[in-house]
Amino acid sequence: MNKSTPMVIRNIRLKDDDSKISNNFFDVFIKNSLIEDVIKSKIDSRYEDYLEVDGKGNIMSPGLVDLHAHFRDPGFTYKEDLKSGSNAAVNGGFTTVVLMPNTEPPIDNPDIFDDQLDRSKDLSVRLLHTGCLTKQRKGEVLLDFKDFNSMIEKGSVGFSDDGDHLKKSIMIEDALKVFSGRVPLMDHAEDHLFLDDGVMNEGVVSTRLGLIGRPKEAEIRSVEQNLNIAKKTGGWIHLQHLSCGESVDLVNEAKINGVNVTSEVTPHHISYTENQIEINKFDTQFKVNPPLRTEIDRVKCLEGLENGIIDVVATDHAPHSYIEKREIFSDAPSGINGLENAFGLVASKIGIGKAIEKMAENPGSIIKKISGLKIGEIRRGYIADLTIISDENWILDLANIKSKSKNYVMNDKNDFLKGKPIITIFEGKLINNE
Amino acid sequence: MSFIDTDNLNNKDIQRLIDKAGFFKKTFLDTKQIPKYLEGKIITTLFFEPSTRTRTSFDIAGKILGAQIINIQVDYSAVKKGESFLDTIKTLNSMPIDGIILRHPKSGASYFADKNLDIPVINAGDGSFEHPTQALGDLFTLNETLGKVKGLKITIVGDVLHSRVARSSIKSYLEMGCEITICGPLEFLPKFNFNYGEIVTENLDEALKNADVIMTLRIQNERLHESEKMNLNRYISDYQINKENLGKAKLMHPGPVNQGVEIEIGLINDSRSLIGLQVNNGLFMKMAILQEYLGDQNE
Repeated sequence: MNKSTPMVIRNIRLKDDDSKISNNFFDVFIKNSLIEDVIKSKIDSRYEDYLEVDGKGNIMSPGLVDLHAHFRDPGFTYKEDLKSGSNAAVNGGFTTVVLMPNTEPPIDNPDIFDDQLDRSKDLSVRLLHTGCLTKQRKGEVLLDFKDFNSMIEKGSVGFSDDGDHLKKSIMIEDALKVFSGRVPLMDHAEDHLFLDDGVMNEGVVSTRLGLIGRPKEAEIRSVEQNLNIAKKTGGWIHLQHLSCGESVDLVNEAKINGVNVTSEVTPHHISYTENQIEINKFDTQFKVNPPLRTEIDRVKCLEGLENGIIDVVATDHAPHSYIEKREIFSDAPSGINGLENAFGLVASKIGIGKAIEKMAENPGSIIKKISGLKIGEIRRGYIADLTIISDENWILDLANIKSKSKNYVMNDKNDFLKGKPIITIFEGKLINNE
Repeated sequence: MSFIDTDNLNNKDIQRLIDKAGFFKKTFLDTKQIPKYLEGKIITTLFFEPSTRTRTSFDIAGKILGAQIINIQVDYSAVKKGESFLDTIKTLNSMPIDGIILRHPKSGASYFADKNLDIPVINAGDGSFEHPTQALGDLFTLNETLGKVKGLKITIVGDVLHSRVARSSIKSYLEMGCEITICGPLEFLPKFNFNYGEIVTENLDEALKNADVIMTLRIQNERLHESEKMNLNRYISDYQINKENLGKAKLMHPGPVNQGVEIEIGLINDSRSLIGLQVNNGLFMKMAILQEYLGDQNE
């Protein structure tokens, strides 16, 4: 934590409890990397011991928190590395990012976990790490229980074989027992039994384009499996990047029945559908796993997010180099970059206030529950992770992208992003994004 | 201008190409003299899959129109040394070539080539996506044989799931006002319909009833997954087109034909069969397409 000059961000607007942005102006005081106080702005007052920053009526959110990103480091640093990914995160208004462990080598033991922690110091955001569920991320043998425990003690915020579903129920049960509610089992719920080399959603569009589909059953069956085990064991399952309307219904039912489940949806799954692949003539920027589904699924996921069935938006930021994505559709890797346009994309769908809830408060509260880190709220004594958002329509500009990879879905003036993170404050340090 | 799929063709476009193919055929048969619309043009055929009729037909069509045709044998090209598809087409693009006629085993390869090149691409079949020159050639054959296309009841029987000819045919035939039925065992019907307005049935008798034209498709073993490889004998007994069940309908097949599988041995030479004519007419449709898309009037 730094001991730099205390700072006050003046004249900012905050989200109220109804996810609306208030018209009142506030001043937020930051001292010793923490939020010292939040008060209503007083005209004419001066705070001589504080560095004053005029918030100009912009909106302040708790620093955005992404529970799901890939920085490809170690192993694929031509796509992204810890530093470039962190810079992309800051550029998108994020202050905390949870990294998936499908690196090369995969993060499947305490030693390599330590390396990741060491290499994550002194970056522009807080990187939190996860470990693999299975050795070598092969889905065959769970990590040793002592390794799970060791990594939890070191700060692992969850375990995931992301990219692949953990198939065997007994392994899910055993892992949940070891975690005993301390951290979630994060599952990429897509059962490979159904996938058959599919490259997009199985449906009318895959039929028309002559591409092999990934059926919805692959997700629905594995969501069911996870929820049944969570119900039986009381363990904490976090379902990653839901894409099917049926999954939203299943999670809703489980939550009503008190199952310990949290879930996420990506900005792209609430924004785009499989139709983009037909309209854009096999454009590989829309190739992602789980695949973009139908309009009905998109709307169900969006509604599930708005009404609280789905807890958070997570980007699943998945960088791939230009040359890799510049391939025939079936040969191109899956993945969409997300960090730098996520907020604008989500806010354009659910409004800025609601986006703050889903991208800062809720994921912050999940991290607080796991690690005790006081993030996700603008409140006295919380870490001064803050994002200042301008209420403007904007277009993602390739020239301003900090990620090493450019596989964002670009928007245009017919499809504005709404709400632009312009200043990111991480542990009291201010970074201007413009 | 590239020619990738049938999506962008309206019925006037298709009729114009049919008429043009008819004109080329008549002129060629009458005089053997066709104006050299493509004189000075260099066109390559780049085939990543085996082909007899499509490749030869494009080769001849281009030569009749005065173009120089370079056939690139992928087996003997740098592709065999590990060169990527993108690098291969880029290499060709850096030479003074006026168009590429492409066949590729993967759906969407033609659009990929088109996006990455600044010369026209003619799709000679990509994966299970489209084979538009075949569909248009067949429309020309139907128009010539039956005097019209509009209102025809056409049934497509066989491996629709994997067939690029089926996709191009369904779209372009419907655009021309035909009624389309697709028929085959469940394994060969798409799990999801195309939703273009086609009728779908597993029942062959139903599909053949009142049909003016039966188009049979080859069982594409090379595109089948293990789980899809079905009992051929069962297919033959349930779905083979023979002398009897063909009735008064005309028979078409985009080739190559597995005689004794999709159709009874010998039926290819029956008076109701248009299969030979399809190959012959395919040449003139390819001339029409090359002239329209690679000819100077479009530059």
